[in-house]
Amino acid sequence: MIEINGLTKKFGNLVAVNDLSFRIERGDAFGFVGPNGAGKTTTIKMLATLLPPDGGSATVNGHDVVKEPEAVRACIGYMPDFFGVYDDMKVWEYLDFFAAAYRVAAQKRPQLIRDVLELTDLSHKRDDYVDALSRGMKQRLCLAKTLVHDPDVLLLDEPASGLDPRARIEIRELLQELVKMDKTILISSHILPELAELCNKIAIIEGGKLVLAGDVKEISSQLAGGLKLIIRTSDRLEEACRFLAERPEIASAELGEGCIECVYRGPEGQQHSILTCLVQAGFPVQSFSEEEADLEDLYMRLTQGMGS
Amino acid sequence: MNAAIEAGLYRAFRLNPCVAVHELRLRMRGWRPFGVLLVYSCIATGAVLIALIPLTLGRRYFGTEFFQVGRIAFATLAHTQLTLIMLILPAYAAGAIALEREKRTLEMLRATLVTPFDVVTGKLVVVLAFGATLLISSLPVAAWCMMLGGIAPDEVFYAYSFLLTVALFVAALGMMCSAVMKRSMGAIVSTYGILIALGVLSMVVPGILMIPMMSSSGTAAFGPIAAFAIVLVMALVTGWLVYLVVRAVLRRLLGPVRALLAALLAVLVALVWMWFLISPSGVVFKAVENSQIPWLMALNPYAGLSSVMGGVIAEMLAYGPGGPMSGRASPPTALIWAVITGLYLLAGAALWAGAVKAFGRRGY
Repeated sequence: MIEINGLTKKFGNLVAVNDLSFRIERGDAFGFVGPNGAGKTTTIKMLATLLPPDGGSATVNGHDVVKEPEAVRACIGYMPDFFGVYDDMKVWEYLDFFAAAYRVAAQKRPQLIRDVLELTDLSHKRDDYVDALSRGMKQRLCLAKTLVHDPDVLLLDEPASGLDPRARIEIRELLQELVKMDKTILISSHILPELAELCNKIAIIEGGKLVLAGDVKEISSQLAGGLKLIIRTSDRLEEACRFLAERPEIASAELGEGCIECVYRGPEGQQHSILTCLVQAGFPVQSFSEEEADLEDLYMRLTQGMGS
Repeated sequence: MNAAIEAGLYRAFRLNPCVAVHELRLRMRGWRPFGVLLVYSCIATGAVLIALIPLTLGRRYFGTEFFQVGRIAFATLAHTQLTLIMLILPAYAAGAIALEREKRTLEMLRATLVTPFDVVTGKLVVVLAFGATLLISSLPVAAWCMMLGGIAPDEVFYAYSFLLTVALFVAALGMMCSAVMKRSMGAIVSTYGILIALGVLSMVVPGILMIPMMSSSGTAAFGPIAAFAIVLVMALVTGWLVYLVVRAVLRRLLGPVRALLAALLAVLVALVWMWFLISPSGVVFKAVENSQIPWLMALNPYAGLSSVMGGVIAEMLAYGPGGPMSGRASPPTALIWAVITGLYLLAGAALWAGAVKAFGRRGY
């Protein structure tokens, strides 16, 4: 769906993006993470055909961003990190304008506008002026605008930046809805817990270079040296911890706050054998779970804050 | 817009009219366009009335017979409109692209399927449509002038078509500056700067440069197209230099709002000064008239308007440097009109194409 090979962009002496390569498959929600000035926005702009690359290549849906910019634009929805809105323009007019800009036939536009307004929960604001909307609503409207031509790929640059917690949650829910609609999403953000909930893949970039890219769970598992399990018992917690530490599949087991935190290094998908052993040994297990990938921890470990 | 019209425009010209529709919505909404239209009509009508005041004081009007009063009234109306068009349209056109760049709305637009041709043409058409609306609003006054006598319908046509061509030229110039400049203020100042330079240089420079190039027969050595190109290039260079100086000074001295006001005031003063220089009693007008390069003088918007309306310069064009007594064959007024408006039309089209190219290169 999106393939980047050795992509490079220079501004004078500054190398904003340096030999960047990764691949995003159809239906992926791809988190693009990095400190300020890392090259995220530059990369997204090159994919949106707004900046010509100085080296390497990038394709979207099989179309080269340099050779076939029109074909690329037809299949992407682009939302910039900062954007302005037109004064004296109503919400439906704004969407109608962008639908026309994507050459959506005039007779199809009214229904399309109704659909995207409903999806973004802005139906009640249809006849309001755009500049009178709140920041969160403008952000949702911008997202609605990126959907008017039903693109396969969404390039979202910091879609939740500057929003209050409620507006962030609304945007996140909307993005989760889009993931369910099988859209391929490339999203850059600083709000890592949100990316962890939304994305199945991430790329970490710093100083224009790719630090790491791949499946979120696999990466965090590799970095932790295994899969992190959280186990709670109603009694005999210390004894259970010692029992686990002796198991060959467990790399380490430590007591946490009312729980045992252990790293599983056994065969993939066989974590349940640990639970079976604990129950058979008579430990009163209350809960047994995998810890969600901690992107923040990952991010801090992999980046050095060069760009910040 | 009707789906069939939209599809037809795209099939015929590869033009997506969405930008034009969008601009019309933005520009024609609210009280501003109507306010401008009202002020425009009041000034144009007021100028005609002021010009006719002496008529009420006696039968003779600056030594002019009564049958020429209608002609004077219409000339006043046309020249006032030319001034207003050159004052109003640059502000509309020069901000069209640069303002979007400043407000960060252009980036999203460039990521869609609209082309630089769609954007520049859509915006230019709307600015031109507004200019045409202003001109049309004065037609009742023109009709009243015709009732006073001394004006033929074809002269009204020549004058109005010339004004419309100047509107295209000014709008395309503004669009070009808007596509090239990063900031709207820079685009506006440079557009006014180039216009002032064009007005002044089309009078002063040819007079200085062309005198040694006159052939022994007393006619200009260059044809009108070559001469117009020389003047245009000089105006562009001078306008650019003027803009650089104004910008450098204002940025150091003032904040952005005061700098804009000061720049506008400077442009107004410069326009008044230009008018003083090239008015029939002005020093420059007389100097250039004496140097007998009427075609080049006609390239000045005011002199051009006078020419297509059969003024002093038209007489010189018609009879040659020797005046009516020279015995030369006179070209018809239609030819003079065709050459002068054609030159403005060509320049406008070239600037339009340049703006499309510049916008495509510069991007958002």
